[in-house]
Amino acid sequence: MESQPWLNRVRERLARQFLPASYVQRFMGELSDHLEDVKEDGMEAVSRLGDPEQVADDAVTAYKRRSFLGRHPVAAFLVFAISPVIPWFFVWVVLGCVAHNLNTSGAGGDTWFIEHHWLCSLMFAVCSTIAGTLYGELAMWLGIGRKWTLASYAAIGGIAMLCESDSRLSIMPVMLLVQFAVPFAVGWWSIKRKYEQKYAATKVLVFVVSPVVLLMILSCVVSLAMRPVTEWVMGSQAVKRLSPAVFDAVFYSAYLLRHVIPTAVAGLLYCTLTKRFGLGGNWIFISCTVIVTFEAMKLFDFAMEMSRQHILSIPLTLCDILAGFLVPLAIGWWFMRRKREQGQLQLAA
Amino acid sequence: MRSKRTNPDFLNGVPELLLLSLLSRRPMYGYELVQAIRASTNGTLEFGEGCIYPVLHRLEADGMLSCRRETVAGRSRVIYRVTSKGSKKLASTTNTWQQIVQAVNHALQGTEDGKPAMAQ
Repeated sequence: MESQPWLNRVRERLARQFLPASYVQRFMGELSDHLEDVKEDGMEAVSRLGDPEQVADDAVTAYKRRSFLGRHPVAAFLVFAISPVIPWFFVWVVLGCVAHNLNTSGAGGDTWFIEHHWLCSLMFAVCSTIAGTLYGELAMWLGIGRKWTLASYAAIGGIAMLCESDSRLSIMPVMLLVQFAVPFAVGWWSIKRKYEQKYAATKVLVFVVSPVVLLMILSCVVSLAMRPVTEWVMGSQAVKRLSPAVFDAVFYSAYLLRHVIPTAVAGLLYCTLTKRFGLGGNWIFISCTVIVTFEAMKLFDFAMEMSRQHILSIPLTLCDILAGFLVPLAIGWWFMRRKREQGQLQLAA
Repeated sequence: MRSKRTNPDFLNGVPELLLLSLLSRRPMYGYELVQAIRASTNGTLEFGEGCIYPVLHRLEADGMLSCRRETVAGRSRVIYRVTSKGSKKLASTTNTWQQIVQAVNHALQGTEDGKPAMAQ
């Protein structure tokens, strides 16, 4: 093989992995120098440098290991999937202040959001897209890849869905779709354009979108299955005679189980699927992110309902956080560790 | 418990050890390093030469090496040097390597009474 096609193959492979241009330029410069040296010594240059894809993959792995987040997938998960909650919290607070001011100035306050629901939806969607792009740029700058960019978009889109701008059921699904779909679609398009990955759409569908559907189905099944048992337990004379503390413990346990079972099943299923298809461990975390976000939505909804009834319960909220966040995270982490020990995972660690 | 993980990690780090060792003798550029590895190991180690650069870059990012573009024989080259951190790392990994070699040899050759060391 000629040296120029060999270099082109390395360059193409690196371009798909989305490494910074300055690093690619330096790496390609050194490889070109090396090829020239080999030629000057009168030897067959390309065969000595090795397989171009292998060389490019080694460069990508080495580059990822340079950053802390590349070496620590859990830290990357916290930054790209969990930390988007923080900017959104501030957006939420700012909008709350705006509504409060409008209310005190007699401009409508509480009803303002309902009257201008499309404007609010658009605002949430734009904020989400900007926040997602910032996280995407951060992932690109660190060279740790498209999956984390997608995780950020999914998390931010999911959080944006939480921001109700109208409580009317007939309008809400469309608005939620706009608030989630706009940032997520922008992220997906951006990733597809930059990476030109052939199976990106399939992976996104399987690991990002379908966990929500599966979790909804599982939650319904578990709730339906547990309802008669819960009603029987709560209605039984033996339970009524229990002290309030024990009664609360039984109630919380049932509540926790109702959340732990679907998340655990969904998490395990996606981990197995990832392993079955030989995909990287990051996809496990993508699915876990989606499951976490979905659980967060339920938590938010629950907390709002409780606050409306003025019975916001901290233990129940903690139970939900435990069920929705720690279970999929723990499953994902356990699978990552196991795969790494088996030497199947080519993550830098 | 953590020390048990040292050996596989260490075996993964053999290229790093070789590079640090050769660069501690004198600063070199990539192609020179490949030739030096081949000469010093009598051509025993076969590897794709392109793979040396990612390892060099990682060592540089870890602060073990420094690099500078210099003109050598009329051509611009990236010359790598070992830093003080790299020298310390080289000393510690060389020591570990020698211990491992000694232990493996001991296990392969058997003990003084002729029984394999693993059977003890």
